[in-house]
Amino acid sequence: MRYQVSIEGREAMVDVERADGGWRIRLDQGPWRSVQGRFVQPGELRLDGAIVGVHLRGDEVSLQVESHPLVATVVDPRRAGAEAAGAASEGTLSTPMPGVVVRIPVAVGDAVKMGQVVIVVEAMKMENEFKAAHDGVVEAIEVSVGDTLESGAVLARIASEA
Amino acid sequence: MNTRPFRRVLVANRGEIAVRIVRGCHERGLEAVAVYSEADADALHVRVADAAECIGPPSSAESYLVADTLMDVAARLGCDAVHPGYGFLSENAAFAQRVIDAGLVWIGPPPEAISAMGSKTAARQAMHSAGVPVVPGTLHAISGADEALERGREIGFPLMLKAASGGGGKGMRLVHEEHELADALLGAQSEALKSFGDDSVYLERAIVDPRHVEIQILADAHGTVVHLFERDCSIQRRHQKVVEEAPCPVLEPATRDAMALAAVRAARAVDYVGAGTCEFLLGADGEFFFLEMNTRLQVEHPISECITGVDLVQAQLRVAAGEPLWFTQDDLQIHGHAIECRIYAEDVRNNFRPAPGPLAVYREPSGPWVRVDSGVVQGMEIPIHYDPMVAKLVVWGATRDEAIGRARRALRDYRVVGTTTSIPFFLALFEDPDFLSGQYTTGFITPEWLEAHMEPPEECVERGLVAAVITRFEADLALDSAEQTADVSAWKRTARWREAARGWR
Repeated sequence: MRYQVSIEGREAMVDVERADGGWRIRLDQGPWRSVQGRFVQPGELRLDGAIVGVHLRGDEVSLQVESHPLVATVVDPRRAGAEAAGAASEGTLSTPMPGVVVRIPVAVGDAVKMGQVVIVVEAMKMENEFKAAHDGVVEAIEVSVGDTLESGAVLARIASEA
Repeated sequence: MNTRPFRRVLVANRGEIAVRIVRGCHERGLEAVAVYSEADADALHVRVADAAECIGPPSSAESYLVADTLMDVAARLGCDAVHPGYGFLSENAAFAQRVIDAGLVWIGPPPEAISAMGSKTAARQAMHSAGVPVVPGTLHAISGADEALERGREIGFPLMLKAASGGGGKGMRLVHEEHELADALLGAQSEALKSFGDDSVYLERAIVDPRHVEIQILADAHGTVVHLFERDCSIQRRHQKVVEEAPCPVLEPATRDAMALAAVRAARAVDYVGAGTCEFLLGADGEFFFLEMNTRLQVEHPISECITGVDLVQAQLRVAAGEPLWFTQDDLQIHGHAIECRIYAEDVRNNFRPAPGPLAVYREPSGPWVRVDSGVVQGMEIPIHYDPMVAKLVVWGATRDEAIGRARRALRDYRVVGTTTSIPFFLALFEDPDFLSGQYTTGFITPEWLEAHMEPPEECVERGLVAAVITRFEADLALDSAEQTADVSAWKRTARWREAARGWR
């Protein structure tokens, strides 16, 4: 199986197969290497002697590697096509965490400057300001004040000035 | 002060402290009634209580903060006492009075003491009158920019503007120079009005790079006030504590005695009853100043329990039942060293941004002198509506070095998967030479320090990459094979592999 993996800013195309005592893996069509291991219990994978905590949700794998919390995206390139096409473009603001919209200081059609606050979301008693990544015009506001959001929700779209 | 024996306690809180209080009640043979919002229906505090009632939708303003609902539950379920925990209504004098007026025992200080210390300016005045050193500044709210400038010049810059009815870092402005003062005042007043309904602001000299050292107080309703020594809470982010230790590693015995004396004097000045804390700022020169008094049990109370052997929740329950304290100040001694790590669901590398998520795998460390106070269990999702605390990890050691070593070991044993937590922050902290030497102040956590210490090693990232791919691969295999056959046993195998690959949930 082949997957596109992204973790901590690293990207790789990875091939993986079952093999004796575990699996074998190669990165970006490099040499195959054998990985010994098994799932010792739900969410815990022993790899080459060390335990890694794993949890899959959609395309995201949450990990705990030696106390470090990491998140990897693992995508099957064959199935990902449709999603990729609709994926976030530069001008899209979305929230990485759930929360409640508390303030929208701009309106559709407003000109905004890079760094200007577009949407304010409250999560865990903290206000998080989502700012325009570049100068432009507010093309769409997808939420209203008071909306409860899930992580990944699209907040607004800023059309960049030509 | 209305103290008398009671049997059934309404625990007006949630999360780890609600669990703590329920356990405390059970250890005294008392019954505990829990309340929960819709977001907390499966929470641990609900499961351990003797009875529980839903009090509203997830938002605190519609649940844990609604006095009417709490009083109604107390009445219907036959509660004769209320324990407010910390936060929420614990320092709301009106609520305390309402509990008392309804004929229930309030497990906390008298409403008058709560009011006296709730207004920061009133508290400063009371302390000043009692001869407790306060941070140099105004004792009253200032009337406007002119007075601010005049007093500011007397007090000296840098200056801290603070909300008189405030707390939690809101309504505060640090002013370095005169020309910034007018704008800062307007900003502080507006924020104070919005957050606390009162735009009164007072001035304090900003103590540069202080340590935050607080004294635990315990008083009964018979006039006895003791202290349980100090806690150093200087490691903070956004004015919120993340690590606390007892005793303070750099406190001179004479300073300790003076601070403790001041704290006891402060408690007596307001006829305090119950558990409370006097917070001080400790300057590099050993000078200390009263900051504020918290008229409730605090998050970090466990470390004082560890070094003194006194169970503070038990003490609260006994004092509220009218019992005199069963020990004197002379009976109390500092024994060993304790450290607490507040483990939050947050992304330390992203400015400690809250990172709610599922606790797909959650296993607390244990072992001798390792204590974990938490309100979570494996399988739960950390709710977004409250602060993102996962647990308090508390360790004790015969020496500070032993406690630190124990903390390192416990942190490494802590399994959390599915949610990003601040565990790696503590591991990095416990390697830092300044922390190890005890030489740190409230300015310790800086963006530079975080950048230098919080990068995961390359080797971990690689292992993570491999683990992620294998996890996904196995899950897809299980999915494919289940889709291909209608075999019942294949479904069972799939379920096991799915669980294995995806964690629980």
